[in-house]
Amino acid sequence: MKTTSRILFAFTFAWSFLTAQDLSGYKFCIDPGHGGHESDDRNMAYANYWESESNLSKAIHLDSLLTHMGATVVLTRHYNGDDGNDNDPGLSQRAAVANQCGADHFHSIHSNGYNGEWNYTLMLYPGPTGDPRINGISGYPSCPIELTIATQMVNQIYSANRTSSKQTAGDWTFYGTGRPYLGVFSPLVVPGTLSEGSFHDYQPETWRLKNSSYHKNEAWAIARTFALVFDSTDFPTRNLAGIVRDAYEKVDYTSITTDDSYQPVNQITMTLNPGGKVFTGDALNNGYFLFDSLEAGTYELIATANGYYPDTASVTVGSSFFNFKDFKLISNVPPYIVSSVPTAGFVDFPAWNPIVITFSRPMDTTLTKAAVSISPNVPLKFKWTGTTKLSITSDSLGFLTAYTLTVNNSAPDALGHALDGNHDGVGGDDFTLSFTTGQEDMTAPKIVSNYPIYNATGIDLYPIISVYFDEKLDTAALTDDYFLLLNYPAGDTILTTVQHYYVGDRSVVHIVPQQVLTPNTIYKPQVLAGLKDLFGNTMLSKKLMRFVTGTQTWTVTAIDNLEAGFTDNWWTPTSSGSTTGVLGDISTARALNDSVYFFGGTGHASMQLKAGWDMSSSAWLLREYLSGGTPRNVTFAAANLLQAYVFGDDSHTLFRFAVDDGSGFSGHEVSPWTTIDWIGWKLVSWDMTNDTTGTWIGDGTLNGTLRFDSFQLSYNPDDTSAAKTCAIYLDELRRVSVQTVSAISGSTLVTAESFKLHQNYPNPFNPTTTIAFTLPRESNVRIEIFNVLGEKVCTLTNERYNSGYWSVNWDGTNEAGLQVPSGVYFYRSITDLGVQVRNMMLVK
Amino acid sequence: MNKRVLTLVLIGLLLGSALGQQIDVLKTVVVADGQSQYFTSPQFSPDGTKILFSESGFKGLWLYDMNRKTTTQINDLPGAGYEPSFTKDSKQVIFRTDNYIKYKRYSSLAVQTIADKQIEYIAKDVRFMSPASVLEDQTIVYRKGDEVAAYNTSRKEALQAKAAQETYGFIEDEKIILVVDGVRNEIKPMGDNNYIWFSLSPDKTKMLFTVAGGGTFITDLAGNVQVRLGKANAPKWSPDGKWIVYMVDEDDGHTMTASDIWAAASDGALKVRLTETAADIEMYPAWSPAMDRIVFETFGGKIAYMNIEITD
Repeated sequence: MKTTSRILFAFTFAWSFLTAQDLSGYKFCIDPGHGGHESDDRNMAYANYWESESNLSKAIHLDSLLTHMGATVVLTRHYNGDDGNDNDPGLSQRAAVANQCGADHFHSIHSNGYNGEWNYTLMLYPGPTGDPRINGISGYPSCPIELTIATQMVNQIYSANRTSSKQTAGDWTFYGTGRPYLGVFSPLVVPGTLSEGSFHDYQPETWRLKNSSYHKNEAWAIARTFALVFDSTDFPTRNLAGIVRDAYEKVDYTSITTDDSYQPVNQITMTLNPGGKVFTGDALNNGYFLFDSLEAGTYELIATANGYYPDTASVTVGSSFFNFKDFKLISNVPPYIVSSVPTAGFVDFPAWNPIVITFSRPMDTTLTKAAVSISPNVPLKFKWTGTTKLSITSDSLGFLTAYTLTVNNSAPDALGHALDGNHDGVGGDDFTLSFTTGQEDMTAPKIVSNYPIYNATGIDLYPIISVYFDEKLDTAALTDDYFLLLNYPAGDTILTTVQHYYVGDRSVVHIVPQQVLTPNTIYKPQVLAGLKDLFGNTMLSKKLMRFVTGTQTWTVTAIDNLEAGFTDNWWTPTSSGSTTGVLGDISTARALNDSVYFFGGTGHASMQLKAGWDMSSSAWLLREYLSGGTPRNVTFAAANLLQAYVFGDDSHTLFRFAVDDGSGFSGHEVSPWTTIDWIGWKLVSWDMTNDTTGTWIGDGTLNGTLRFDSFQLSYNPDDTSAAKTCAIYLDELRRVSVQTVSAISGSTLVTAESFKLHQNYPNPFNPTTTIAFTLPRESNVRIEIFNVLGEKVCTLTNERYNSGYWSVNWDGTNEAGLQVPSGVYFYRSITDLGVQVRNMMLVK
Repeated sequence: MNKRVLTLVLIGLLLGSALGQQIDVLKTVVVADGQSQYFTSPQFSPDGTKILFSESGFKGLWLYDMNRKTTTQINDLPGAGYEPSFTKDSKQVIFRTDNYIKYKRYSSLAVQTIADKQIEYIAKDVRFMSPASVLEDQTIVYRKGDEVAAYNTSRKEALQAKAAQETYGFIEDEKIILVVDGVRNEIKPMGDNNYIWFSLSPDKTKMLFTVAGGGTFITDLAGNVQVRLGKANAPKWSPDGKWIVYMVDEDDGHTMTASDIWAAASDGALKVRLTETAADIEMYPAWSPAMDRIVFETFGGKIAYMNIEITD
């Protein structure tokens, strides 16, 4: 090693303890891995950390320890960054240094990296696991050195670094190649090992790996390994290390242990008595300290730091070589409010959400709760999470109202420090939080279902495409332009009629093609983003549906268009002796209605049927009987379809057709019941050949010439969603003859799509881009944006979507609404159907 | 590199080209495919009829017969594959083998007769022994601790006087040791650095070595730089001393990511890339005595040689 380096990194502690160890005559080649501050010199930019620097620091500490035990040490690298010739020798050169200096052992020092959430110790040796290269001659065991050192060293480093676990493996096995993998092992003629002491991309560890004393303790672990293996002796002295953390303040990065979740304290002063040894910590967010070369015994250890109460502990340095004592110091600055939800000045805060105040340290919960008030005054309810987080709710917060919440200075922490409400470092002032509540509804309208469902096949050529929303849309902002129907793959726009209805507290929109659709063709209806609810909340996602038409064309013959003539041709419901279980008041009625009619049919009227079910009855049937007139003369056969458009109210009322297939009591047959679980118009069709018949008073068989008998409604007591009343509309009662299109030209049938996260567009983008995805079935979808460091930037959506094509937009801002820098970002979708990740580029 | 040096290098490169110096690769022949065993460190015998190589970890020696196209393992001794040598008659192999006593590494120098595979030890259990260099007259010279030792393999006797006369060099703990007329000189031509892959030119007037991380150099015996070859790892003199063959290898700090074999005129006038394959990582080349072949290994265990044609 260079003389200059030795002087530069010389230790100040006494070396007498090492005289017990004798490694004289042994030669070690120590390899500080990586170098050059290049792309393969793993950099954690948030800490200005380079793996090469901590590797070299550990190696220099180790050089000093081994040299003082009498060993000869050769380093493969002496410099970092751009300094010196050998700041980054190649792997073949490092092995050549070891080979040509005739080392007894070569050891390469590294730290590991993966996903920021691992931190274990890994030891590797050349060859398959359990069967390292054979370096002993016949009669000697298979290279005992590599296995012995690896097994010993992984225990030592694991103990020194306090990592989560440890693993030892041969590189051929660990990397799964089954052949030489590590480039520094392959040309090595001397026994070799490689340590990955800990994970430098685990952020608490990154900061510890910035600390020279932390390197030194790992160097001790490696040196102790060599002493135990080569000299069969242990050090008579002991090391005492630890981490000083804030007792309450948490870090804002990933931690895999409870201790690591607390903020390390910078610039600590640790005093060890007797002896008065003093350790001064760095300002690199690790809180680490080390006293080495200690005699076994009991010590008084005092931890101090600016802004904290000092703490003293009695520490016994005993049987273990690596001893630890961690501290959690209590800040002596007044408590303050770390964060609030909502933030100050927030507008449109949902009145039903809790106000959450997070304090910097544990509070006196009783006195703090008593110190909270709000203006204008409303009753408040409090809930503590631990003693630092206070959730405040009220059933009385008004909408669109300005409030000021105050935590007055009488709120003390658990130690009695008065609140520093304005966070100026001095306690005794109030915290005030002004915000304005939002309106009653702050959620964009959502499509809860649609017809046809995604990827439906065999859809008729005259469909009512229906889109069902979870709330009422603002009709003032609703135009036909939001609804498109395109064929695929041609992409032609099909002319449609768009009709919107309010049903109860929801909206339904029907899209009806103005032309007969092409058989066996894919169609993609779309609902564009931009629809608003009555409170102005805007739907941001585009909905893409998809269905395939069938091969049947229809010839339609009207039975009754239900435009007029009710009095002459149709009985009132209660006139039929079959009607039972209905209330006799106005809740049960039949009427001509000219406000709700099927807009794709003839005329501008429909039949309204209302039923009020008598809950005291045990049977329920409303029979709306067609008694005569022209409609009664229309005959049909079982080969026909019997159809009517039914405007549903989601009352779960049962609906069916009845026909006459003969005279007398038994000449009445019915269709199966259909539950009215929809809102708006729907074509109800009875395929009298392929569907079954229902059970009523007939024999269940359709015989000969058929005539229409009645519409029938019923209440289903087994359906918990069934309403006690219903109001539906009927239109365009008709018979249909079916023809099948035999020739399928230009078939575009495709198989159902699986879940897919699409590439964003545009890409690269500035300032916004669209991220689309396709769901084959309903699923929760969470889309998150990450930067290249793996830090989450924001969550774009996290809610349930039904099947179909959806898209969301990202405007290049983070959760706080701040514009993020240009660069590569990843977007990840987590669904019930799997996880997919893509990347995109934001440019400025 | 300053402008003057750069200009001289460019002129040299042009001159080399203009004078017609060139190496053409004719074809490549695989000796061992490295599928079931992973081989390393190949070299030709002085008569060019055999290729000697070892297994990953340098355990044991194998001989490939160029005429019969057969491979035979001649021993399985640990460390034997690290820089072994042939005697000049190609009938014997000199190699070092390692032993560990209390984890301390001891080396023995052995000579093995190829015909009957008999092994005789020249020196046993020596600390810090270098591989042997073979002289013209069946004599070998090697480093034995702090000494330079010589041995005649046909007469089977140590030649201490011969050792004292020989110009010999080796690496000792990051520096070059050059022994001339029995006088040991420590040389650091490029200052404090790790010196590796040292060799003397065939006429013993020049030194070839690499500075770890700092490039490869040709100097005179006083250490005055004559040629800077740049990145040229594991360099080997050609038997006539006019060429250097070497590898330009790349890694990511963990494993090898690429490597190709190059040759350079020993006056620095020309560099020729000899391999440029996507699938293989070619490393550790060595000349055939007739300079009509270059044998090499690939990272992962294949042994192959390329037929070449040199135009001087």
